[in-house]
Amino acid sequence: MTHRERTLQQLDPLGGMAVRTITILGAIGIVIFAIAQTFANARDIDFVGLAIVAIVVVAACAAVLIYSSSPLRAPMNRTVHLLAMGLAMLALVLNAGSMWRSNELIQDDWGPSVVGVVSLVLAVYRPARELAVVGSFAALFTGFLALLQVHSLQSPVPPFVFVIVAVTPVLALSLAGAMFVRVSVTTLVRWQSRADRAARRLADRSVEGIARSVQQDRVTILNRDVVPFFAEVLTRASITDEDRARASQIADSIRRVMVADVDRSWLDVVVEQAAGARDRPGAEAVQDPERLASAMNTDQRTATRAMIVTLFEHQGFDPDGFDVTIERDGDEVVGTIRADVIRGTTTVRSDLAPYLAVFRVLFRDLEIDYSASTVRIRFAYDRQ
Amino acid sequence: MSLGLPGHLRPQSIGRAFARGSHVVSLICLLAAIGIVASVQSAHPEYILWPAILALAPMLVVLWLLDRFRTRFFSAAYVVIGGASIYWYALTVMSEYPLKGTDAFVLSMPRVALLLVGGSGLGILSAIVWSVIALAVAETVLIIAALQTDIPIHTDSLSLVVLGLVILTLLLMRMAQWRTRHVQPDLHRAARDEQLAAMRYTIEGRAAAVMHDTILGHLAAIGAAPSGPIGRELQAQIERDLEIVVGEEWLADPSSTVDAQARNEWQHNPLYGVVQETRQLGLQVELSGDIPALARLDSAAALALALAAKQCLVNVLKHSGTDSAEAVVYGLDAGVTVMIIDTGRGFSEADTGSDRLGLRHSVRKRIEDVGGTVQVWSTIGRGTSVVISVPTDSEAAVRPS
Repeated sequence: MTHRERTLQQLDPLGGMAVRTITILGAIGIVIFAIAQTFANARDIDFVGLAIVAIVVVAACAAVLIYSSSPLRAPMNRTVHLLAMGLAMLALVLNAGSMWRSNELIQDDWGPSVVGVVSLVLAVYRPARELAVVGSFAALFTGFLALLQVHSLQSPVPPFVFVIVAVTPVLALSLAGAMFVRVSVTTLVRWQSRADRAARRLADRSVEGIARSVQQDRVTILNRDVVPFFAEVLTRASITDEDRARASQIADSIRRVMVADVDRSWLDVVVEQAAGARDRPGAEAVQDPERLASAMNTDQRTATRAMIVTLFEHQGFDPDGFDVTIERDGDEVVGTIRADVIRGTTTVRSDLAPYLAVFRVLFRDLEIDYSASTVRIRFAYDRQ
Repeated sequence: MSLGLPGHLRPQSIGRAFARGSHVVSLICLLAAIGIVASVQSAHPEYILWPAILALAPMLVVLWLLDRFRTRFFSAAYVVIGGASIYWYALTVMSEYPLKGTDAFVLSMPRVALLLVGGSGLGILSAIVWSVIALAVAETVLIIAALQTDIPIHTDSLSLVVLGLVILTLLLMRMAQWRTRHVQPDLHRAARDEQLAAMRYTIEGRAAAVMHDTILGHLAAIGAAPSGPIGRELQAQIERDLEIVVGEEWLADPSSTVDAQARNEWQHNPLYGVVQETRQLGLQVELSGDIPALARLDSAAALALALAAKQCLVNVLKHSGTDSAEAVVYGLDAGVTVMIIDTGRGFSEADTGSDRLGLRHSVRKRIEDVGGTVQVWSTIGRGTSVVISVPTDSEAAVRPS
């Protein structure tokens, strides 16, 4: 996934993952509430079958919410939003239908509250504008349905009051969710731009230090052969056959080092650094013959870097059983990270879960396979 | 990269977003209460219910202020003024309309609106405390109004459920932050490392280019040189290589630290093509100075400068008797100057033959056309310096005043 919508789940994958508990509790809550209110208003029910189907539909809606909010299925798309809201609206209609002839009070119907809570629970996963639009349409429909029920309601107040009573929970909770997302996303985006500016300033300050370190690396290599050779030629002020042979030999060795450097991708460097040194186990684990790692964007590189560092830091990680493969698959690139975990296999899932939530937002077709002692993560991205 | 807010900013952010969301609910609840009262009033003109609508007006105003300025002062003002508004509202409704108890929907709406004061947006715990205080105030004034009007006092389950949900949601959000507290810094650290790695990669590329242009080139020159005394120029170049390798000159070179975009811009500058082209013709061109300044030129000036510089470099190759020249770029506020220097045989501009039209036409005419100037200093036997200056905005420079 390269294009990101302005949802909390996509702009803050960790936050989205962390509040899933609220989604699950909300989903369970609407089912319990619907059952409890159905029993409490049993007197009003004319069609028991419809009342039961209404609860089944609420349960289906809850299942959709719980299933689709998993970080491993992120990001939740508009279809899921519409499906969940559609099921909630269907439950609302069935609930109203089950009491069509005998409903006394509209404020003790569970339908409007369920629709409102579903809209609120979806807030983390969808953009503010979409939540507001879908919520407003749901409120309009709820109001219309309330008008149709006026014939059975046992209250002397004008029909418009029933519309207000029915619409209020739907509209209030939908728009509250939309506002929560709008404010959170705005704060997040504003902070991000400030953080980016600060990072650029830090980077500017770091340039000199990095340049010196790069130069030091070069000087170390050159001091070994080139500097003594040049100094010797200059002192002698003449060139011999031996000098010519040595010059081409030194040039060859420098060229080899340069070619090897050019062949090393950022991913090789990340793995080497995580392993500790080039000659440590796991340091040569990257198989990327076509240098496709360079097609990852900065966000994808950051997430991959964090994932690899976490794997290496895991207590049961076995660097000998680690490899990263990056290969072409049609128009896209498929990456596979495979790691053997010889101890702590139970904690590796929870350790990796937050990073996988981030991966799910940044890459396509994420597949995770935990076998006895091996974790295999497969992901895809564009070749750009 | 967007990885979410860092841990220390999250409680404030959630508190603020929660407060704004709560205020939306409060607004809709108050509008619902007003809508219900207005509907009943229009259906039953015999009741005097309209003062209840007026009673909620101050509460709406303070809610608007609270939403704009989320401070403790406005939170307190909302609870106090809202409490008074609810009292007046409840007293009007209870005394005029036969309600079954204080748990009626029409009384629950302002009660919920008050309890969703949302705190001052300073944090989760503060939001919970403010909600509890606000509900206590609302319940108190409703009980007082009920006692005055003999309406039965019932527990309002709706506002209690809303309060419970507010507390539960805020606590769950707090716990959710707790779960990710270790991971967030790791991701932010990875983002910073990634940025530094990308920068190092760029600088290594520059270092490799320096190495390629200097050391490897001159090793190859030694490899191809005839046996015997080393040439003066090669000797000078090798000395310069050693200076570059052990010195920090290339670090100070602005083009070494410019980002990829600036490098890309330079490679698309016509002067870059000219330098490459004349190098291929056999002239060793050493380019230095404020190269990124060339990017400030508009396309006409950049092209004129490049073609003029090309003519000067071709002149060096054809007439100066040397195979090396230096081109130095100076970036000034109003324009860019390029000085082309050679240590060849020099010439007198007045004495140049009719075949030396290049300097007059290809250089002077072209540069003057874009509002620039050309100066030539040449001493026979000592070399030539040509200074070409062009304005950054060539169109403005040549526009008739």
